[in-house]
Amino acid sequence: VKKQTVIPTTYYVYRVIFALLALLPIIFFALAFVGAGPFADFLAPFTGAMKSWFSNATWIPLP
Amino acid sequence: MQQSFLSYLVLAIGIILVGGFISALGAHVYAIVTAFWLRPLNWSPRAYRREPLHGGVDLGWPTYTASQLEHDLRHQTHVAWLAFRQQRARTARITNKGAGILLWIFLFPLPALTFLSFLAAYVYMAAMTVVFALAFAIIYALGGILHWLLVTVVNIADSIWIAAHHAQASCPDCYTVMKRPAVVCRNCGTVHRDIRAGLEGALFRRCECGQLLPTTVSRASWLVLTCCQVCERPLHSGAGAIRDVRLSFVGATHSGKTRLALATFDDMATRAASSGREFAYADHQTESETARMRETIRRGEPGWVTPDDLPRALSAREGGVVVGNLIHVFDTAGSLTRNANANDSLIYLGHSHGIVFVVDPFAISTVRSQVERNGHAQLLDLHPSEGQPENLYGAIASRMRASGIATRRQNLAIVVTKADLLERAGVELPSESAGIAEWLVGHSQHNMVIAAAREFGAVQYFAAASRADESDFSPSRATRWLANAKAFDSELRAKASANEPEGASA
Repeated sequence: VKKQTVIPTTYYVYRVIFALLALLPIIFFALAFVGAGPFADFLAPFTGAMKSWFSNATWIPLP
Repeated sequence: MQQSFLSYLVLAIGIILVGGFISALGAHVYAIVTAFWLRPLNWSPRAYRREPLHGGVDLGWPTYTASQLEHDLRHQTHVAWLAFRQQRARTARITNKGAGILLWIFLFPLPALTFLSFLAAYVYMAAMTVVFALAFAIIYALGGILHWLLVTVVNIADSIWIAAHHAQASCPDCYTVMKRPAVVCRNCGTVHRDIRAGLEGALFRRCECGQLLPTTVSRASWLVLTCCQVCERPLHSGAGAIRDVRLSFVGATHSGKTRLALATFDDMATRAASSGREFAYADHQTESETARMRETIRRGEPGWVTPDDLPRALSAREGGVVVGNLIHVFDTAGSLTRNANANDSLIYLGHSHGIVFVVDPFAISTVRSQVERNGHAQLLDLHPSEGQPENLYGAIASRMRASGIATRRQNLAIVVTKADLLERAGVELPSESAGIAEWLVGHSQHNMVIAAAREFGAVQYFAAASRADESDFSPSRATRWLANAKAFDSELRAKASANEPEGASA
């Protein structure tokens, strides 16, 4: 008789799916914000305007 | 100038937003690694503890969507927010206490931006918690739908199998009849009382020790050890998956019940070997007792008297996995049938599909007289049996009715034993059912013949000799008729009609 506690493998499979499903949208959002990743086009108008604004801004030297 | 200050302001806001995002993302990634892998909060079978239909507790791992997913979401959210708060508190401790005040002076406005980043991170934290909850909902919905679809299909398939095969499991020791046996884990020995597909798995359930077990009786009864739901003693292989045939052998002491029962199995084994049909003794006891009786018969010695204890069923499997019968024979001691107080203990009489009433012809007074007239009085001394069979039949039938047993639902085989000895003594005994009934009426057993037809569902008469080679008096005829009486497939129906005589009286 062998008593042991074994966590079912399916738990880990589900956890990987759970983590990917939750993290991927967040990572894609972050990538899109810097103009990369599959959803970059969605944020392109915003990121483009932001880049344009920063490139045209006048910077004074900090003290 | 104004535009320049605005630029720095926008830059600061950007740093605040990105910093907050990184902080919230970091907290969630840390929570995933911690809550899912490093320090998971596993909802173990002991925490889960489901009470099955048959009482007790089944210790099996629930499926991920059934329990663990919800706990993982809660645990992950808790760890993420805890990590975030600790991160914020640690930063606050560094910048707001003691020498940290100097940071405000020399690195201003960075400490202020850090503080504002944490404020922004609250929004990200809330958003990410919602994203995780959505991921949970998606997995719960998709996984749950797929799981329950599979569970439904598996349970329906198993129920159809059980119904189509008239499958039941019966305990040879405590006589309990159950639709589904309990299953013993082959690794740790834990008893699982309800293995049906459900919250613990669709195709397999996982024991607390990690061992996988099937979720259908049709698989479990062949693949793993099953046991009685009540006494937890082992059941035979195939119990619950194939047709369960329970037969009670009753009759007077020395009437030849044990000899008939064991010769029946021996004869069935011989017939199966010649016809190519599968036959197997279900346990060692039946096999060894059959071998012992075979040797006793071969030597021409008298059999042994059944002990007064309640019998353990003698069992054998006839047929294969798909079409088969698990035949149990309860060899009741003659003393138990005479004892009215023991009647309530013989609960297997009520669960039996058929009763085999064993008639010792040498107990009938007119037969004894005939044997004596024919000059074979020594046979009467060798095979003594007490009481008139019809008196014992009446006593047994009335006790069964008194116990509330619906005898009309049972079939009765009345078997006249010692047919070979009768022949030797010069007493002619027909081999067909109707002829034997007439023979019994002719020997003043008419009360039994009339009452049996009225009290039982179907009645057939047989003559039997313990030697299997005498085909007219084959010892297994009664058992084969009873086993095939409720035929469930064309093969068995064909066998029943081909092998057995017509004219069952009802």
